[in-house]
Amino acid sequence: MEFDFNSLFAFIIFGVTIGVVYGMVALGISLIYSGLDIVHFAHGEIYMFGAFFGLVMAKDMSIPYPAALIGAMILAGLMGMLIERVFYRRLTRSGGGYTVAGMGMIICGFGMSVALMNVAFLIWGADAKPFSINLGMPLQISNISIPQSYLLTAVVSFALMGLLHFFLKYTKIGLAVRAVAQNKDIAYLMGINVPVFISLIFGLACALAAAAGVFRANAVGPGGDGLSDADESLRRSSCWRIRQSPRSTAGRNPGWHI
Amino acid sequence: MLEIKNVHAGYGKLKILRGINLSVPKGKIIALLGGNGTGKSTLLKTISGLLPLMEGSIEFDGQILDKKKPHEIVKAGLVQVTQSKESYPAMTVEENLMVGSYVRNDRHGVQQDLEKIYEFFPILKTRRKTLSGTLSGGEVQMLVIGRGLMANPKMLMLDEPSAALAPKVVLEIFSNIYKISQTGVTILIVEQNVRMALLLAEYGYIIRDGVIMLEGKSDNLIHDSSVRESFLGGTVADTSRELSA
Repeated sequence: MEFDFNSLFAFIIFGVTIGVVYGMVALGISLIYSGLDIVHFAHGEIYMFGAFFGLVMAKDMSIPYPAALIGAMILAGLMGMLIERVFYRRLTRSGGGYTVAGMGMIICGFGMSVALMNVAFLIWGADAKPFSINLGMPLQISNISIPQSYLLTAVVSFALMGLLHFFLKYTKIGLAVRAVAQNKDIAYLMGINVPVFISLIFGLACALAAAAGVFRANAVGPGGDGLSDADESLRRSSCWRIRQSPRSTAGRNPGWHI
Repeated sequence: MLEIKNVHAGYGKLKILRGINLSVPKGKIIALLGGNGTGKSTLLKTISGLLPLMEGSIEFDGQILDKKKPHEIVKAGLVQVTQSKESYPAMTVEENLMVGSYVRNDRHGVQQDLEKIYEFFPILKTRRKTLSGTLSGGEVQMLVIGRGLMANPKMLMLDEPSAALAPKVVLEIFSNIYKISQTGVTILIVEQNVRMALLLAEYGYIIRDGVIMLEGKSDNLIHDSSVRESFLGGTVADTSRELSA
């Protein structure tokens, strides 16, 4: 049998697209991990909420898709900042990482995960909801057809990651974020308002998760529609993603390694 | 410049400092001396706002610092330089220095100060693009002092600049601290190396168990019999000759 290079090429494109989406979630988790020394177990739920925010805005409120994407990112970012401020702040104040307080943080994260999941269940129910957007006909490159949503996902995801990299590496605020991530006491002594920056880190990570959620929701499967079984698949993949997320410890650049 | 009156502070319920009085006049070098666990670093953390004040008052340059947050205190012009090991190892030397300038908005002035610090510490210039985790102990100490200076402070608090360094390096660091004070920066130096600190400073405080045990002009302290017994031993003359050379 002849080797099917077209299929191989298609699989690579689809694989990279899906990988990039998961990469964005992982990037968020690793941002929080390096910034606060905690593993954010409820990040998968933020991702799911982001998808639902996008769905509600694009379908029920019929906002155009790009605006819905940005809206979902902002909403999820604010939601993350609120959660951090109300619940996690008390715990991180007493130290995170591999201490007893860090253990409390993990339990709090799991609790938050369960709580958010059930909130979503109460609002939207457990049924799968289709999230199809019409971006026109799939693109034809020789014999392969690539749905537009995949292309959009890949391009925007890479752009977002590039933006984050630029922000962390070359701006003053980004430098301060890295300083906070590496050593909070010294950052404080250099005049950086650490609590504000922790909020910022959380907001950024959650906004990334929301973007990933929206993309994943409308790009799942080569057919290009259907947030198939929202709760189930997202919940299951959240554990997988944590293992996949890079181990950016406090001593490393909190970004841009997927 | 800095007036500390009857300061009580500590960690949680544990009280470390019990009524500290200390004053640092403008433009001078003042030394705070004491062994391990006597409350030196606790006092610095309290002044910087990392630890809450339980009692007493801290006044700096006409402002009351009692309830201020650490970043507000830095903006007021009071900067603490922590012990030598605490740079940002995953950042380059230049990035480390730029973190220090975070509170400032005058890009031009920051660039000028960066050049000034490279003049003070030429070794940092040669290694500006390398990660600060690869620097030697003495270089890291220079880096953290430089980082403190990048905030353009009115007063610098140095926490044990001689800790874990070779005597020759200590000498170099101390002569640089002297040069910095000549540029008009007030300095409070916290040290275990009593002899060196007293040679540098004009006035010294000796802290023990959270209270100021003794204070006085450096010359008097060096010749004080109790100080000699508990800290010095041996002669002061040798090092002073070295320092002037």
